[in-house]
Amino acid sequence: MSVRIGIIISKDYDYKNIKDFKNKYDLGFFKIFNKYVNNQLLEDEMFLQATKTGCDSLTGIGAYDLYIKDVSLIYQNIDDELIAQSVVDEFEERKQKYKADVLRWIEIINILKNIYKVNKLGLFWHMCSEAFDQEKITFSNRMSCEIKDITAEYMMKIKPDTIIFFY
Amino acid sequence: MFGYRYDTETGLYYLQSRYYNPEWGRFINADALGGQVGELLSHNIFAYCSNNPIVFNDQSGYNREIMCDGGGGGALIYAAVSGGLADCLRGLLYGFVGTIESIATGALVRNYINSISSSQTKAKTKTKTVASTNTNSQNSKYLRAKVTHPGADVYVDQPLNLQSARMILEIGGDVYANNAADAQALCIAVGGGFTGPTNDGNPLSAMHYHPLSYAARGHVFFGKDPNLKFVTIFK
Repeated sequence: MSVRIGIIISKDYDYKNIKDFKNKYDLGFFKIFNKYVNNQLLEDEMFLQATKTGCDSLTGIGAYDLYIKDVSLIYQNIDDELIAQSVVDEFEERKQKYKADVLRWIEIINILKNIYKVNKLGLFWHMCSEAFDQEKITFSNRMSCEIKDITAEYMMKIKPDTIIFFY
Repeated sequence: MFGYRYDTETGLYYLQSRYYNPEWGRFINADALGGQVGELLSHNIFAYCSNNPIVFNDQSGYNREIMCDGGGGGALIYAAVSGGLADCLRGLLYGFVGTIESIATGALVRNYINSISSSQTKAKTKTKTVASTNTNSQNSKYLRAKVTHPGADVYVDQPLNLQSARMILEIGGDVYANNAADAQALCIAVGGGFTGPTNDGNPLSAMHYHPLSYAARGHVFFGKDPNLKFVTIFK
């Protein structure tokens, strides 16, 4: 099982336009044919894999519970002080990565909507146990969020299998 | 040519049945036909042409085919163009130096091969050093680890007991277990069971389990996966 980010985009959008943009942000945007997802999308929507990697475990999207985790117990449960401190330091490092990742995604969403004029743009995350094209994904909700209302906390609080459309 | 279609958007080649990633030197979809008895490499369902792109090509994505014989030089160039330099190097590593040296492509190719062989020897020496570090690891079921995408580092000088390993997973960290059974036991201790083992469909990733709890983004690597790098941090 691995965390993966999916993008829902307007089917008619010529995403050759965003080739340089994809490279700059090291995005995948691979078109994925997943019959379970396709059956739940509207006619004008298309499903893309957001990143190039098969695992987005360090994304900040949906990571709120981890971000606010109390790690003080680590010091009590790991006897070796050096290791305990290193574990906590690594946790803080991951927290920074979560934060940086959601800020990056906010930037990406803003650019796609405002500069590249992508009409429909949705985002979701899912805990995958199969390849993205085979995974049985059942969306629990479709929600909308105005771009001006996106915050790092909002991105971190996105629930799994919920598509957020930005407008 | 050869039924390969390059997708400029994704940077992948489409081979009639599945996509090939020239950067990884691997298919990104599994082989629909699976492996054959007696051909060990064919069971790697993401490998391109049994890791031998110099001798074989794969026009359909289903079966490797022998490329024209007597055209060794062409095959080398072809492999470099279609499969990427990584495939070329991989082919060389798998014992085709002799084959290529025998072709009439002149001293230039031989010098190139020699320089690659030399660098490969150096790389092997370096790996040995790391491996010998591993033999000094303490006899603990669990060690700290860190995913490096696509591989992972295992800290051989940082042994963990079950409780501390569990806590690390609960805060999104990564752990290494000596074997699959220990990895599964750890995931169960976190709560909810486990999924895996998986390499997330990426042959460059190390096999791992995930605990089945919501926050558990951590990985539990195990065994002697070649994509794991055993390192010492504190000593």
